[in-house]
Formats: sequence, structure tokens, C-alpha cells
Amino acid sequence: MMKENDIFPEVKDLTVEYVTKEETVQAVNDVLFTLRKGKTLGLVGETGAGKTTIAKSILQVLPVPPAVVKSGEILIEGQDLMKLSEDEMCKVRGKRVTMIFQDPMTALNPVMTVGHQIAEVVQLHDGVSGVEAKKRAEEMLEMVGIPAARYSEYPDQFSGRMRQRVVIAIALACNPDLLLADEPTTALDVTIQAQVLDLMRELNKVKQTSMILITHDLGVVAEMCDDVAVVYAGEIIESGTLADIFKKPTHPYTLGLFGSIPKIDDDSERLNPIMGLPPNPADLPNGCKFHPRCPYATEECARRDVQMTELTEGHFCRCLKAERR
Amino acid sequence: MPENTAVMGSEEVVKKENQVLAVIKRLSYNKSAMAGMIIFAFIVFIAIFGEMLAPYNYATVDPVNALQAPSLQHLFGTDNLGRDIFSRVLVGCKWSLLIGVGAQIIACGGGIILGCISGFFGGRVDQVIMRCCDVIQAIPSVLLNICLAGILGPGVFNTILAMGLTGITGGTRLMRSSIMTVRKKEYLEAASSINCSNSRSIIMHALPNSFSPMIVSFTMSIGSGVIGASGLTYLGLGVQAPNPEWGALVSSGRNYLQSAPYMTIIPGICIMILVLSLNLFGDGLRDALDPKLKK
Amino acid sequence: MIPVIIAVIIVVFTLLYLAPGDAASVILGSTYTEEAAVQIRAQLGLDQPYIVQLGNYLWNLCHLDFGESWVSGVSVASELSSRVPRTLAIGTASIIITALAGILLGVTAAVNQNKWQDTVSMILALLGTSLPGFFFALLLVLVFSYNLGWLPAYGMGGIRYYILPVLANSVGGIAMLARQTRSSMLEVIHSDYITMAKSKGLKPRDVIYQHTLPNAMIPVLTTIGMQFAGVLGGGVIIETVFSIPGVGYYLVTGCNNRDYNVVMACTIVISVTFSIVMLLVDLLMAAVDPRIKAQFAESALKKKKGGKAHA
Repeated sequence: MMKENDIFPEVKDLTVEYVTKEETVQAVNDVLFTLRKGKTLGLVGETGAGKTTIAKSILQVLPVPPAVVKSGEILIEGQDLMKLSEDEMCKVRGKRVTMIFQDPMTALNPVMTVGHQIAEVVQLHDGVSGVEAKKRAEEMLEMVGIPAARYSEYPDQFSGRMRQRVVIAIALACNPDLLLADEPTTALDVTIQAQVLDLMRELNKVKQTSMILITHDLGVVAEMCDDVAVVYAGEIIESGTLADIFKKPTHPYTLGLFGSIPKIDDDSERLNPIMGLPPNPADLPNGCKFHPRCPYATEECARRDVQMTELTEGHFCRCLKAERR
Repeated sequence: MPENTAVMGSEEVVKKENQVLAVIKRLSYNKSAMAGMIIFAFIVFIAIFGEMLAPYNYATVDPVNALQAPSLQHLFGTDNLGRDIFSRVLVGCKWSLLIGVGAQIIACGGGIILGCISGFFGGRVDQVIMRCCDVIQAIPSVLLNICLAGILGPGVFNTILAMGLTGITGGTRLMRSSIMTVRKKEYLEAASSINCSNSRSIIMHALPNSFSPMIVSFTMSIGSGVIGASGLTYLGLGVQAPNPEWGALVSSGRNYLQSAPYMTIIPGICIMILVLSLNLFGDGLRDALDPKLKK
Repeated sequence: MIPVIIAVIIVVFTLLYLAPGDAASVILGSTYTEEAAVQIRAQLGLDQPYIVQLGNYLWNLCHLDFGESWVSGVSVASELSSRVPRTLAIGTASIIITALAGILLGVTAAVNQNKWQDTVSMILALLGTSLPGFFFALLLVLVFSYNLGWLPAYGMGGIRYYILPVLANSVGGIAMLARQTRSSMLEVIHSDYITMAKSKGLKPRDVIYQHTLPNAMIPVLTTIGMQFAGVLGGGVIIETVFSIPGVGYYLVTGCNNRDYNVVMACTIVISVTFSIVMLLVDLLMAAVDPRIKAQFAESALKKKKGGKAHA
């Protein structure tokens, strides 16, 4: 029992496809990870690797059609979210699990005041009166650094980063147990980025909120996360603690990611980007999904699927090189 | 270097061909669009060969056999003058189609020219053209049709002209807006940087890239043109009596609506099928040309 | 709006000025003699240059004087005063039915995307857009007047006389609006802020009614305004089918008799009505959509600043 409470959430064998008449896109393949309560997991990968799809399938807000969840269990405190009815799921969304959306320019309803968009979620989940909800919403606005007087303004009157703060305020309004943050800082200036990250870290500490941080910014990961999972072509190809991934990266793709960051103490003139382009998710290569771009690829890599191998405790890697060791 | 340009040129051609192929492929997936296309092809076939297929002369008056209900002898019955409605429908097909297509050629032709001028030169020219469109579009189009048809007088060609002139404003706006989106793109800048003249830039670059909304609008508007023209005919301002255009057939039946409803219903259904096929095909074409729009 | 109306009047006047046809021959009919024709033209001021005629017409229009019918000699304004209410009644009733039915069909289709409700609504809408209005009117007459005998086939009278015309006049608009509403709804449903609303834990019903509908209705509102043009124009044909003495019927009679004073007056009245409706729609849009309101406020502010700079 204790252990179940400790793990929050646990995602098992999640497979999501986007099915249209013309093609089937395998967005997420057999994703599996766990997160301990109060910790932060970083999901790292290129654009289009399936990170956002993972987050949206936890909340079950994928666009259906075309999205189809083929399999998967999402356990929070031993309860499978996939098995909940729509009504029960509505009580989880916005209250226990919330999400910060990627693009602040499109994430707010343009014809509703920003204050009401925050108050709405408070009123819905905490069962308070309209006046009370308004007061809470104003507090939330102040908390993210927006004067409460701007309660009844519309999103159009806000700049992009102020909208992002509103989105964050909505996500934090009901003190969630799990926060899914999808590129929460990509649209922001560096200084504001730091403020937002501080805000999230504080929440993480004070309210014991678990967090899944989706990003392609390794700097943010280093600053924020306890655990890291590297996503490539809808699969997790390496996962472990922050130290595991940053100190002992094993998968050639992870190595490649680090190779493409400029280092201050490095003398070499050029960066080392990963060669090639991410695979077309509608037509994934056989075997290891990374082998067409991998400098260490052998014939075997193309032939058979590669399983996750545990290198040291909690540090997994999906590579033949690691399997053989 | 010439080698290089040759390679690029052929690549471009391949790309264009691929785009066309992709559109056709997407279109062929769309069942209702294919159904629309097949029906429309059948209607075009009748328009061409209708006169040969007609079992009777469409104009032969036979008062003895007037107002007969549909039978094996007269598939769609006969009208008040004893003319075979089936033959009249077959022959009338080409007139209905001619009016729809003719009006759209005028509307799109005028629209493309004015829209190009307006969208490409911008500034004062654009202002003037757009204000004119505003004014003309403040008059409901059916009303403008009626006025123009009333002024021009009845007849097939005048009906086409009235419908076409009314449609120009819509075509102009459509063309202008697609040119406006294209003109900001880099390849026009590239074109002017290698000293392409304005007209050459329009024709070679902007036009092909802003064509797809025009094609869709052309397809869909043929249908509304047929409907509009049949309305004019009904009011006595469009096609005149001996001509078996479908709208004229419907209106000639109105006085016998109670005694011989088939005289009205059959040509009316023909109009509906024609317009329906165009709408189906147009819908499919729009989705195929711009897959982003389809969600 | 007023410049547009004046421009419309000038355009219509010019069209009819250029049109072939002679007032004198229409008025005199079979009693036509060259002498009498010259006299009549002088009487009506038709021998004067274009610009003077136009000025006179506009001046008279300011006093709501549309001249007289060339055929009957009756004042056009007095004819219109009895006809405009009928046309407006049909137009208003049609647009209300169009809006209600069109939005209902469109929303049903979008909410049940790819289910049978969607298919049925869209097939109905497709048939509706493919049907000539007057043909549908004739079908209605055939079924409800001749076969069932429930409703009158033509003429004026109580509210029963309006049912079929209004139905016939609405069908095209309903179909178009249903398609527009559906695509507008779908576009909004797939937008990020709707995913956001869902992820707040709102019930699917509330997501539709509180977040999707208000946004989807904004473009639909413009379409309804544009549909008013269709309803007014279609009304001309429908009035003729049902022999309702409204503005449209008057216009058609005028066209057929080459009675240009009547044609001009009817066109102007209908166009002005349409312009007023479009203005109302614009105002309504500004009230509903904060983005447009902000734009208005901004341009007003600019004007003010500009004014000050000039002063």
C-alpha cells in the first residue's frame, strides 16, 4: 500500500496511434515509466517524438478521432485512469492532474475573460461560490505576477508571456497532485523562464506536487528534474536519474543530444549534430528506430527489436550495445 | 552551373507532378467526390449527345397527346402541347450547363483579372476596386441579377451575361485575397530580385499558387449559377419559351402543377442532380487541394 | 454605411439610365406619337443631362419621393408603404427560422462528428443547397396545398398564408448555415483552448456550450448577416411564386414592364435594408467578440489622436 502511494503516476505499455484514411502514425510505442511522489521527471526529445501525446493521453484529452489508444495503463495510487468513466475522469482532470499547454497564444479561450477562465476551474472542483472563486482567481493572478485588476480582461489584451502565466495559474489553481508541463518555458524570455521555473519548483517543494516536465531544453532538465527519460520516435530509449543520464549517457542518441550542446570549455570549432532527420512516424524503420542515424549501427540493429536493459539500478537503455555488456 | 539549374528545374517539374498526383490520389479516396464526378460526367455526356439520344423531336407539337402521364412511350410524359418531356430534358441539358459554365467563365475571368490587378498593385488601385466591390455587393446578388437581366432583356446569352457580371465581385475578392497571401512570400521577392517584371511575376508565380481556391469556387458556383438562372427564367427574365432549358421546363409546368405535377418535378429533380453532383465534387476537390482544411 | 448607400443608389440609377428602353413609349403605350413623347420626356426631366437627372432623383429621394410608376401612374412611395411590411415580415421570419434550424443542424452534426446524426444532417444540407428555391416552393404547394389542402397556395391573408413562403425561402439558407456552423464548430473543437477546457475537467456538455459554441458562433453570425441578402433576394422569387404583393413581386412586374422607376425604387429599398442589417451584424459582432471590440477602440483612439494632432 505504502509503495503504491509512493509511485505517482505509473505509466505502463502506453501505445497511441493516429489513424487516418491515408496512413497510420505510431506516435507512442510501449512507453513505460514511473514517477515517485513529489519528484520531477523530464521527458526529453526532438519535436514530434511523441512527448505531448504522452501527456495528453495521461489526461485523456487526445483528439479522437484520429487518435487511438491501443493499449496502456495509467495508474495513480493504484487506480487505472484508462478504466475510469468520463464523469470520473472529469473529476481527475483539472483537480488531481493538470496540464500546462505548450502554446500560450492558442491555449486560452479568446472570448472569455482570463479571470473567469481561472475561476471556472476553482468553482468546478472546490465547490465554492462564484464570489469565492473570483477571489481565489485574483489571488492566483497575483501569485503569477499579474495585477488582480486585470481579472476581467480578455486574452487578446495580454502578451504571450502573460498568457503563459495565466495558463500556469489555471494549472496550479486547484493544487494538483500531478502537473504535466508541456514546454512551459519555450515561449518565454530567459528571465521570465527563470521566474516560471522557480514558481514550479516552489510548488513542487511546498505542495509535494509530482511533475512531468516535457522539454527539449537540456539546461532546464538539469535544473529541474530528478529523473530523466529520453524519447525517440515514440519510444523511451534511455531513462534514469538525472545523474545517470547526464554523467553516464549510454544510448548513442543521448550521447548525440549532449554532443549538440556547445560547451564553454570546449575548444572544437564545430558542434556535433546528430546526422540525418527523425524518422517519418508513419513509416518507422525496423529494429532499432535509431539505427539509420546511429554511428555505431550494425546489421543486427536493423534486424531485431531491442529491449530495455538495466545498466545500473534504475538506469535503463534500449540499445544492443548496452544489451551485450 | 547550367547543370545545376537544369537539375533544379527538373526537380521542380517532378514536384509539381507529385502535387497533382497527390491531389488526384486524395480525391480518389473520397467516395462522394467520385460519385459527384461520375454523375457530372454523365450529365456532360447527355449535354453533348442529348439531341441524338432523344426519341422524339423536342419541339414537335402534338396536341392529341398533350399532358400524358409518364408511360413507356413517353418516359417522362408529355407537356401541355404534347411535346415529349424526356426529349426536352435531354436537349435542355446542354443549355442549363452552358448557362452555368458560361456565367462562371465570365465571373472567374473578370474576377481573376480584377483580383490580380487589385492584389498585386495594392495602394490606390486596390482601394478603388475594393470600394466598388463593396458597393456592388451591398446589392443582394439575386436582385442585381434581376436588374441586369431586366435591363439586358431575356435570352440565353443575356442571362449568361447577367449572371456572369454579378459574379465578378466575388471572384475578384477571392483572387485578391489569395494573391495577398502569396505576394508576401519569398519567391516573389526572389522574382523581383532577378528583375522579373510585375506582369511576369503575377503570371509565373502568384497565379499558379493562388489557383486552387479559384478552381473550387468555379466548380461550386456552376451549380449556384444554374439555380440562379432557373430562378430568372421562372420570373420571365431569363431563357424564353421554346428553349427547353431545365429552368424553363420547370416554370412552364407551374400552371399544370395540379393536373400534371411531373411536368414540374422531373426537370426540377434534374437541376437538383446537376447541382448536387457539382457540390459533391467541389467539396471533395476543396478537401483534396487543401488537406489542412479537412479535420 | 451612408456613403455605400448613396453609391448603391448612384450605381442603380446609372445602370437604368444606360439601359435601353424609353419612358415615353412605356407611358404612352399604343397612343405613342413623337410629339407626345417629347412632351412627356420634358415633363419628367428625361431630356436633361445625366448629372442633373441624378441630382433630381437624389433630391427627391431625400423627401422619400420615388416618383411615379410609368405604367399605372401611381406614386411608387405609396405602393411601397403597403408592400415593405410584407416583405420585411417574410424576410425576418425566414432569417429567424434559417438561423435556428441551421445552427441546430450544424451543431448536432459537429458534436456527433462521423456518426449517423452527422451524416443525416449533412445529406439534408447538401440536398438543400442543391435545390432551387422556387422549385422547393412549388413542391410545397403541390404537397401542402393541392394534395393535403392544409395551406393556401397563393395570395395574402392571415398568418397561414406566410407559412409556405417562409419555409420555401429558408431552405437554402438553412442548408448553407448548417454546413458553415459544422465546419466552424469543428475548427473550434480542434483548437488548443478546447483541449485546455477539457483538461480543466469540464463536462463534455459544458465544454460544448460554454467554450465551443460562443467561439464558433462568431463567423456564423457574419454568415447569418450575409444570408439576409439571400433571403431578401430569394424573397423576390418566392413572392412571385406565391403571388404575394410585396416589394419583390413589384420589382419583377416592374422589370417585365420596363417600368424603371419601380425597379429602381425596389432595388434601393432592398439594398438599404440589407446594408442596415449588415451594420447591425457588425455592431453585434463587436459586442460579442472582445477582439473586434479592441480593434474598434484602437481605431477610435487613433482617430482621436489624429484629430488632436490636426488641431
